[in-house]
Amino acid sequence: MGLPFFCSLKFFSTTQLKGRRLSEMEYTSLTAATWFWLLVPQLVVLAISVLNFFIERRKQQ
Amino acid sequence: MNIPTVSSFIFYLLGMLAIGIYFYLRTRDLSDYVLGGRQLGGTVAALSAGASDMSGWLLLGLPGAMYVGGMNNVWIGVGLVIGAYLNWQFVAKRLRIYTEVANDSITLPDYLENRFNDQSRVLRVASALVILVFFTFYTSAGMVGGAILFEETFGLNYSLALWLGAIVIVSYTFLGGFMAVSWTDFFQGLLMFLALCAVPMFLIGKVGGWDDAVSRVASLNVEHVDIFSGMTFLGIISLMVWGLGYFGQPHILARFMSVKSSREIPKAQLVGMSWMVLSLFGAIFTGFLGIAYFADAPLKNAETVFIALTQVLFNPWIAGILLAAILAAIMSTIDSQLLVCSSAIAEDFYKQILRKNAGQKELVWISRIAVLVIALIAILLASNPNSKVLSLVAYAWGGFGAAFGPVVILSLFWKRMTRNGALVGMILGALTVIVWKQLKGGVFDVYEILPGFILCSLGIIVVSLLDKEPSEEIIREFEKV
Repeated sequence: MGLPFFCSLKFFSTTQLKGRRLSEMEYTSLTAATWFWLLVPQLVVLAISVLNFFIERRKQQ
Repeated sequence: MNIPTVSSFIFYLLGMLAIGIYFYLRTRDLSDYVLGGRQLGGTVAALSAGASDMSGWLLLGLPGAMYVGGMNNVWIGVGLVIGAYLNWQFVAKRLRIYTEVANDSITLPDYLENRFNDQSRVLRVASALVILVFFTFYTSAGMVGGAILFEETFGLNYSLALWLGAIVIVSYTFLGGFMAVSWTDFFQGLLMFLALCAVPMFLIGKVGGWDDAVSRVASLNVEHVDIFSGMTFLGIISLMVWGLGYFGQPHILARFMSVKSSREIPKAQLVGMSWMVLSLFGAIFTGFLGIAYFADAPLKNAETVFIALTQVLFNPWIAGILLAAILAAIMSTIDSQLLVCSSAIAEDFYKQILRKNAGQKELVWISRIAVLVIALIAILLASNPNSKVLSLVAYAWGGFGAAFGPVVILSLFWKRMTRNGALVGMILGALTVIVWKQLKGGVFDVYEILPGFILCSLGIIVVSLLDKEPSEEIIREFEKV
């Protein structure tokens, strides 16, 4: 895994986990990293578009 | 043959034709035909840009990839969302204004020629040729996808399916031009959105709720819930840079140019980005939840996960409507590309080079004939779905992004840019994509759009700085924008 630790938001790679039952902490960290990267960039883009819309509307008034 | 599904498809196709006829009666000149007379509302522009961009990938490719590989396929979606956002935020408004100021340019080659006051016509001809060649293959590949869908859904023979789909698309594009294409894309975008919201929403109840579904997927293969599974840093970058392609896609840029006022852009951006983010989530969750749903009886063809789910989750009438969304996704891309090709022939070759005094009526009919000719070539190419020539489509997204993307961005924001800079950048970008794609291993596994985009930008900057400064007229126009 080439990503820096702080950027990956994940503490281990799935290859280490393959074939064994995950601890609760491992499972939580794995899913948290996944949901973070799945949701945050897209929702941030959406939030900026909403903000931009209201700013531009106010400018036009 | 399934009567409810066939009825839904026929109803949908007739609706598209009706839109074509409606706008046929309202088309007066070439600007109406290729750019809707710049009268497109923000919402229609946004959804038609989204629908024409996504194609069958959104309903077949992405859910299929999620079903096979799980969450590590999300990166391409993240890259696309960021690219589309930057395109709306920085390119859309300025391009809308600049194309009007630059001699009311109605196509991308037209804009490039007018932006640099290029009397030699080299920029126009080169860019129009690139558009014509790649979009013909792109259209053809789309027709293959549509024909396979018809073939699989109705059990039709491939050739009949190909002609049937092509006739409907060509009819409304031929008749109504840009407004018909935009409005059909708008309804097609709505249908795709509806389908991508409905399937995961119904599916989640069937798999016992969200937590159960995630646990089930993880128990099948923990890598499926890991967004980094099997990924390297270069791998992630390679997927995310797909978003760079947006800056150079002529059919998407045409939507920006056609919006009735630059004041509509923020609304269009909001609608477009909401549509895109929610549709991508829909496609991602369809594939992901599909893993849990089909855990005991896996699908043979992963790309049919959306089709299989609509058939098991809904009654045949609703399933027919949702299946029509796949056809909508394919058609909305083909029609836009056909129209861009037609505008390149009518505006960039016929009007500017062959017959400068051509009347508006004549130009509209030349555009219509061009739609027919390009469609015919695309159908002939598509008649052999295994033809190697169709693999050229793999160059199209990266090629347009690398050849046109930096040219469009820098032409909008850098007044020192010159015609020679644009030309060298375009050639460098396109060549890099072609050469890079032949190389394998290590850094060459990065998606070719990234080196193409960088070299194109460098080429533009270096050559423009070495070139003599742009004329005062060009600078004045730039500052006016």
